[in-house]
Amino acid sequence: MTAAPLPRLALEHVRKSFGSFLALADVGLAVPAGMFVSLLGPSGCGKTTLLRLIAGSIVPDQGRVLVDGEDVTGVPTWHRNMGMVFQSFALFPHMTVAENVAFPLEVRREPEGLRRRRVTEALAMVHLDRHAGAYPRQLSGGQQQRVGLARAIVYRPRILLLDEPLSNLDAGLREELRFEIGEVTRRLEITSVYVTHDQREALALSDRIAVMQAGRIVQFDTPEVIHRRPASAFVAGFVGYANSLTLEMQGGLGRLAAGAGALRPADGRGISGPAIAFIHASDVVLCTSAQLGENRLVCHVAAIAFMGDHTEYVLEWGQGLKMKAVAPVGAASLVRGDEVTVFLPAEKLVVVPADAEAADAPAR
Amino acid sequence: MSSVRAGAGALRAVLLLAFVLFIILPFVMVGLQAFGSGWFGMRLLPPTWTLRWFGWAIKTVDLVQVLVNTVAIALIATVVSLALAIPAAWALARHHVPFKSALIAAILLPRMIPEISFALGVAKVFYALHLINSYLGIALAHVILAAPFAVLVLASTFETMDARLLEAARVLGCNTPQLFRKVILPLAMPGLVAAALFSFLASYNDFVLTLLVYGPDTVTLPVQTYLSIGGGYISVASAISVILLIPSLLFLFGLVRLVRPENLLGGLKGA
Repeated sequence: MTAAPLPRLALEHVRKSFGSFLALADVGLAVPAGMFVSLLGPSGCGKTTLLRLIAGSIVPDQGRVLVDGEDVTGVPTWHRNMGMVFQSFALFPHMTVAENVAFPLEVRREPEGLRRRRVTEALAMVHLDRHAGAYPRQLSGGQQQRVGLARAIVYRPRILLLDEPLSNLDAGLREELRFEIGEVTRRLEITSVYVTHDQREALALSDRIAVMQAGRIVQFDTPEVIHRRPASAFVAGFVGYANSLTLEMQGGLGRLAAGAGALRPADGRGISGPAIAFIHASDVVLCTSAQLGENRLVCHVAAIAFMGDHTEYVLEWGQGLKMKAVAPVGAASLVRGDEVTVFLPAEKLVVVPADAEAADAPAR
Repeated sequence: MSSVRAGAGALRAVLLLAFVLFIILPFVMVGLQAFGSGWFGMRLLPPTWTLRWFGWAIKTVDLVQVLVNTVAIALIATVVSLALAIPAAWALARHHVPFKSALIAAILLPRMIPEISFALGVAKVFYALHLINSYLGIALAHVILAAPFAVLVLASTFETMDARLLEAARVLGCNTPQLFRKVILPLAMPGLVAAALFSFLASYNDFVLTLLVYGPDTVTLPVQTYLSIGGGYISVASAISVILLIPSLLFLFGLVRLVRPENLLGGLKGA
């Protein structure tokens, strides 16, 4: 029997409460070396607590944090050799860009020559070589966070932690820096843990996503699987499924709880009883013919929004039940009040049992 | 609209005049007295100018010794004040302290009540402890006045210091001494400088408390000024007053340049 390589980072049965609030309930996670993992979830789900616990800023009530198999639960944060990028940037205002980036090397008492070489290298990597002598306040938000990134990687930490690094930036900069974070982490092949509440960031950057809900990891998988096969109603809602339909499943066929009609999802065989079917707005097909049958619903157009490269439709079916659909511009010439038949392709429907979690699913 | 503007203009003129009358004019009078000669009666300016009174002050009252006394006492008072105020302010600003507001009120009490009302008590205790007529004794008396200032200034400095910066420094590999030396100290420097200057000046300028605990070997500038006035040497007293003024003015202008508050902004984004 050959032993599997030790994960770079492992969490075992980690538990943490603040007073009576249970922030983390028995979390387990294993991150192989070089992997980019996102912790995705709404605010209060425990993702930031988990990150700070990995960093060592807080200590778990129970459970262990392991780095390369070594228990670091009791190791103080400054001996853990982790890099961290902060939501607030957290640059030292009394130091220049170069001094900020040199700081982790300086406190490690690295020799001057190595220090200078590494700082130059790190600044070049985030395209800030020209701003080495500037003070943080003289830089834009995007530049400041790039300094934060350079500072976090300059000493080649074992793990890079990123705490919502983009959430204080404007939309345009956010995309640019997201790209840069992906670039740098891939180039360095550094093990990264990225906290975010933005599913698009998580999908774009990650090798694996851990979706968190109320102090637990509810699904840990590749972005593709998370996106295509969410494990629960909560995950589906969180990763951006626009449409949900309540069903009663039996023998692979789902009878709609409201209105007439039935859905036959491709993977609904294993589920019986109350369930929820999810489908992306882009997967809803608007039909020109009024042919009826399974996976087809008759709707009224309640609202139309022209979005430039596509058109968004809000369709009403049953009593006050709405569904979103998008179509390329010019594909359908519908107006408000029109009756339209929609087709929900079986392989695009995601069915999960209606559980208690469904109530917590964020409205999207 | 224009009447409002005219009213504002008039108000500004009145306030400016009041400022000149009550703040600037006394200094001008003292200055004229210190550098003038034969200035009696209703003359607007002294008829002749002279440095004689400064010479007199140095000769007749051993001004150099008085200056040494004053500065030495002020330095001791500053060091002791900071030594007390730094931990107190850190605790008040960064830890949960029971009855915090009552505690702050108690710390500020010496600044709220007239010095003369507790000066006698201080003097009595100091006599018993043989602290009269010593640098340390007078400095300790001044700490009563200086420390509350220092605590207040430093507490607000420590309070505005962002905990996220300290956490960042920790994650990046900073141990406790390094955290203090490389992050906390530079970030708190403006507050520390301000607290030190205020403490120094509180001691340097104090008269009431000093009067009750000084002795022949520990005459300070304010006390000497008073003694000179009492001796009828108005011009000599004025010359001493001018000397007394210099550090206060230097510090006032130095404070703004030294502290450079703008260097401490930026680098942090509110979440």
